[in-house]
Amino acid sequence: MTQETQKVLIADDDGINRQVLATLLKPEYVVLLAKTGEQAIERAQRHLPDLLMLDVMLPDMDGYEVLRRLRADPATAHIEVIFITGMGRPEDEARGLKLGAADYITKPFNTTVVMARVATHLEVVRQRRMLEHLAHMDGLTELANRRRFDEVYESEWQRASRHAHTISVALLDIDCFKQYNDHYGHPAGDRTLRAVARVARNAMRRPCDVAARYGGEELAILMPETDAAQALYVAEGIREAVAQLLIPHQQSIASPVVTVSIGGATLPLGGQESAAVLFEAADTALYRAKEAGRNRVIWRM
Amino acid sequence: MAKALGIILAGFSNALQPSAAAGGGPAADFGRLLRELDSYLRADDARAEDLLTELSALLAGSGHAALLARIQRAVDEIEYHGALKPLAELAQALGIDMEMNA
Repeated sequence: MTQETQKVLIADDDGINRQVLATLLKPEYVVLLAKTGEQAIERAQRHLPDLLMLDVMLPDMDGYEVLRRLRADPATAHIEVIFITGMGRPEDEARGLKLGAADYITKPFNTTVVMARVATHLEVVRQRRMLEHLAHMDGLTELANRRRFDEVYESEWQRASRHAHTISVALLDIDCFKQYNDHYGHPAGDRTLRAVARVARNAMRRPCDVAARYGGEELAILMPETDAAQALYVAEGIREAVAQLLIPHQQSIASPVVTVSIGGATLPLGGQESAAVLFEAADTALYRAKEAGRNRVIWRM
Repeated sequence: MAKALGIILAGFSNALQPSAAAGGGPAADFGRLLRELDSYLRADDARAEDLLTELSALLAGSGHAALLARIQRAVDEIEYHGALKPLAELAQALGIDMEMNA
């Protein structure tokens, strides 16, 4: 997981406060600015900052309203918020914290304390992101795990239905993998599985494409906005690339080297199939690929 | 603070001696600066403000005050995307190709 510079959005209508905070934070973080509540919400939606330093008193709406709107939007609900305000009454602070702010800093602030608090909250964000990443990843292959695949598949299928896009899904199975493990041992099986996973991952060209470990030796591949011909091309590429790894497999009935079978299906433009039915179609195609002799791709157009 | 002062002093010096760009000399540094500013503005990155200060100092007395003022207004309003058009006009006036890699 690459570590990107974290983003902090400063929303304050007072230019001097904004500049003081920006000057403090710019050497360490990417800093974004806003001077109104609307700007803060728009920047938060567009850039999804790791932290929002939010003045309670803004000209168009108060900071509590900004926070309420951010929390109501699933895309921005998780953004960490620190209130910065001249209102130092305990009930004001309690109100902000009850709405879900992580912290509350009163003006005039001490710059060292502000930096320390920002660093602490951003470290929490970084650790939370890392945990989320690990929770979504398969430890052996470092592909997305089944849970992550199911989440993305569901949301991408809904997006495809909403916008009448195509979407393609494929299931990949390593041929005679049980015999491979029995003959070469589980450590060798793990290495082979990782090698096949690397091939699948390298075949994913766009950020929205997902290769996941779906079961023991089974991978699932999701290609949003990809028609059947394009998806079949990708799948064939994966099948060929795995065969080209030339990993010996003496026990395979399909080939002297490790091979894969792939079954896929595409939701056509304006198609009515449910996500589950489309996935079953890919599974059936995989079954047929195996029945037809393995080391092949069968696609339900 | 020291850096800001340095930029301002450079600006004064520039105002007394016409800049390379204003005189039609090598535009490589201006090109880098303008392209970097363009990229920060597009990203809403506050480093745009520092680069604009630097650019304004370097172009002091060069006859581009009106364009710089338009860029500055958009930046002051934190409507960075509104600064992109006058920035493109400034690049054109300086003969700088914004499409080149920085």
